[in-house]
Amino acid sequence: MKLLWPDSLAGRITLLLLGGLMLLHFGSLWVHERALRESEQGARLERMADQLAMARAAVAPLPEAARDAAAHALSRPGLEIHWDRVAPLPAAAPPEALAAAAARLGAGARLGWDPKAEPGHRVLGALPVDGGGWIVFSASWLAAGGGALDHGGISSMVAMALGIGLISILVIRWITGPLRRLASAADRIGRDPSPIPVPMEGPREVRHAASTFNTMQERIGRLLEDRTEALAAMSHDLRTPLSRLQLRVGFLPEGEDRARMEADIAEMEAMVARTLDYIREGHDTEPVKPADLAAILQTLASDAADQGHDVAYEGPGRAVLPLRRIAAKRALSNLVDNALRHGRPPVRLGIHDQGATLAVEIRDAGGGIAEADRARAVAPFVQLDPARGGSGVGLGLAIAQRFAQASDGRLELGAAREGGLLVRLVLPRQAG
Amino acid sequence: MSDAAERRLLDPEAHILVVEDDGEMRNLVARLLREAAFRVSTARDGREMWALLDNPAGQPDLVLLDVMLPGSSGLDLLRRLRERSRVPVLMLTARREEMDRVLGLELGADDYVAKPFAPRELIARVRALLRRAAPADARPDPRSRRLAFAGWVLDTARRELTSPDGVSVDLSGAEYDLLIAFLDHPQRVLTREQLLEVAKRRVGADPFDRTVDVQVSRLRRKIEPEDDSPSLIKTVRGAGYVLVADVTRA
Repeated sequence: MKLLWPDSLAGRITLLLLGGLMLLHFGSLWVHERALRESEQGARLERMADQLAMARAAVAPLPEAARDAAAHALSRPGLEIHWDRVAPLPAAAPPEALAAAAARLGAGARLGWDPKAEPGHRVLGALPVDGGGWIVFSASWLAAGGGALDHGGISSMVAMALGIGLISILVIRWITGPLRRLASAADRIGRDPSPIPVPMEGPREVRHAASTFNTMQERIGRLLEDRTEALAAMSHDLRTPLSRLQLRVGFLPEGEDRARMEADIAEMEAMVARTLDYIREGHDTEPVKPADLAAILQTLASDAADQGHDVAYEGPGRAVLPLRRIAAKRALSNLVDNALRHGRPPVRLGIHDQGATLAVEIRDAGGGIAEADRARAVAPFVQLDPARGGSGVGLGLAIAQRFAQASDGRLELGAAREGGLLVRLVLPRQAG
Repeated sequence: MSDAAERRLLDPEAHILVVEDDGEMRNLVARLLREAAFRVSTARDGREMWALLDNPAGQPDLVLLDVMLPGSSGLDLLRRLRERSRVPVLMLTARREEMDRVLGLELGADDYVAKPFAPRELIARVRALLRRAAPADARPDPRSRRLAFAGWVLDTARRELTSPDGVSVDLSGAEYDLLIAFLDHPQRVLTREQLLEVAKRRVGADPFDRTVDVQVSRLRRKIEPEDDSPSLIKTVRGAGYVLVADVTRA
C-alpha cells in the first residue's frame, strides 16, 4: 500500500488524475461496447429468424426422407439446422434470457440452453414444421461479438495514460513550485540570522501561505531577538553580583570552603561567558583576515596544559586561512573545554589539509556520543548527560556550530580512534 | 604580616584612586587594596574624580577606572584624564567586551582587568603596573601602540600580532607578556630570573610549573614557525635570551 501511495503532493495529484481519468475512460468504453453489442445482437436475431423461417418453408413440401438434407443445406457458420421427427426439447417456457428470441421466432418455438455443449452449439432450438416434425437448430450467437478489448484499444489507452501522466507531472510541478520555495524558506529559519521573505507568487492559496509565512517569520525574528536580548542582559548583569561575591570570598580565611566557593564562582562565570559567547556569535563585527589557525590551537593547548590538563596540538606549524580570529578562538576554546568537561584526557588537537578546506580535529578518550544523540548534542542548551554533574549550560558545541555556519563551514561529530568523541570543524580556505 | 611589611617597603604607600559607580563594589575593591597595603581614595563618578585630581595633595600613583560608568562614560573620562595626566590607568571592563577593551587601550589605558576577577589577579596587575611606571617623562607615550620588529607588527591595543606576510598570529597571555618584555628591551640579554618576573605577573598559570624555557620555545614556534625562518630570539648560553631584531614604535 505504501508503495502505491505516493508521498509527495505532486505524486498524489498525478495518481488521482490518472486514476480518475482511467475510470472515466473504462466506464464510457463499457457503456459504448454494451450499446453496440445490443444492437448487433438484434440484427443477428432478425437474420436467424428469417433463415429458420426459410428452412421451415423449404422442408414443408418435401418428403420426410429428403427433409433433413434440405434443412442442413441451409446451415451457415454459427447456425446449424436439421430436421427431426421429434423435438429435442420439452415444451416449456424458454429461459428468461432467451424470451425475446423465442418471441421473435414465432408461436410454438422452443428454446433451451446447454452450457455443457461445445461452443457454438450452446443454444438449442426447435420450430414446428407444417407438414410434421421439427426444424432443429443450434446456434452460437450468444457467444458471438465478445467484449474483449482489441489491441488498438489497449495501446490507445496506454498512450493516453502516458500523455496524461507526463502533462500532469509538468503542470503539478509548476503548481507546487511556490510551495517548495516556501518549504526551503521555512528551512532557513534559525540558520540565517536575517529573515528572507518568500516571494508572493503561485496560486492564491500559496500566495496566502507565503504572506502568512512572511509575517510569522517577522514575528519569530522579533521574539527571538527579544529573548536573546533578555538573556544577554541577564547574563551580563549577573557579572556584577558575581564580581562582588568573588571579592567577598577573597576576604574569608583560606580553607576548603573558600576554595569550593571560588570554584563555584568560576563555574558560574564560565556559564555566563559561554551564554554570551553563544549570543554574540554571528553578531560581532570582527573582520575576516588571514590568520594562522595553528597558532590558535597551539595557544589553546598551551593554556590548557598550563592548567594541568593533558592537551596537546599535533599538526602543522602554520595553517593560514581567512578567519575571524577571535571568533574562531572562542569557538575552538569551547570545543576544547567541552572535550575536557565531558570527555576524558588525553585531548589531542590537529589540522588536516583537505584541499579546498581545512579540518580542525579535536579528539578525546572519553565515552564519545552515540550516533543517535549527535544531532541533539549540537543543539543549544541541551546537555546529554545531566546526571554527570550539571556543569555548563550545554552551549559548547552550539557555539562552534554557529561559528561554522557563519563561516561557510560545518561541524561534524564522529568517533575517535581512541573511542572518545571526534569533533571536526571544517573551514573553507577561501573566503566565501 | 611580614609579607605586608615587605610590600610596604616595595610600594611605600602607593596611592590608588578607585573610580567605580557601584557602591558595594567600590567598597570591596578599596578594602582589598587597603589590605594589600595601598593607600586608597574612592570616587563615585567623574565629578568626584576631578575634585580629587584637582587637589594637589591627593595625586594618585594609579587610577583604577571602571569603564562602564553611567553618565559621562568611563571611556570619556579616560580620554579627558589622558589629556592632562600620564598617571597609569588600569581599566575594569566586563570580560570579552572586545570593543571597550580595544578602545580603552587605544585611548591610553595601560592595562585592563575583566570583571569578574580573582582578587589576587587585581593585586598582581596593580603591582605590575606600579613597578613598570618609571618617572612619567621616561615612559613611552602609552598611545604609541604599534611595535614593529623584523617585519612583524604587534598592536598592543588589540593584542594582535601580524606576520610579515600579513597573517594574524594568536598569542597566549604568557607569550604576549614575554614578547612585550623582549620588545621593551631589544638586543639586550634578559635572564631567566627577569623573564620569570614577567611570567609571575600573570596569575592563573603557575610560573614554576612551566619554566621560562617552555614559554620561550612556544613563542619561538609562533614567530619562527618554519625551519628556515630567521631566528629572532637567540639563546645566550648560561645567561638567558635576547631579541636580535630592531624595534620601532609607531
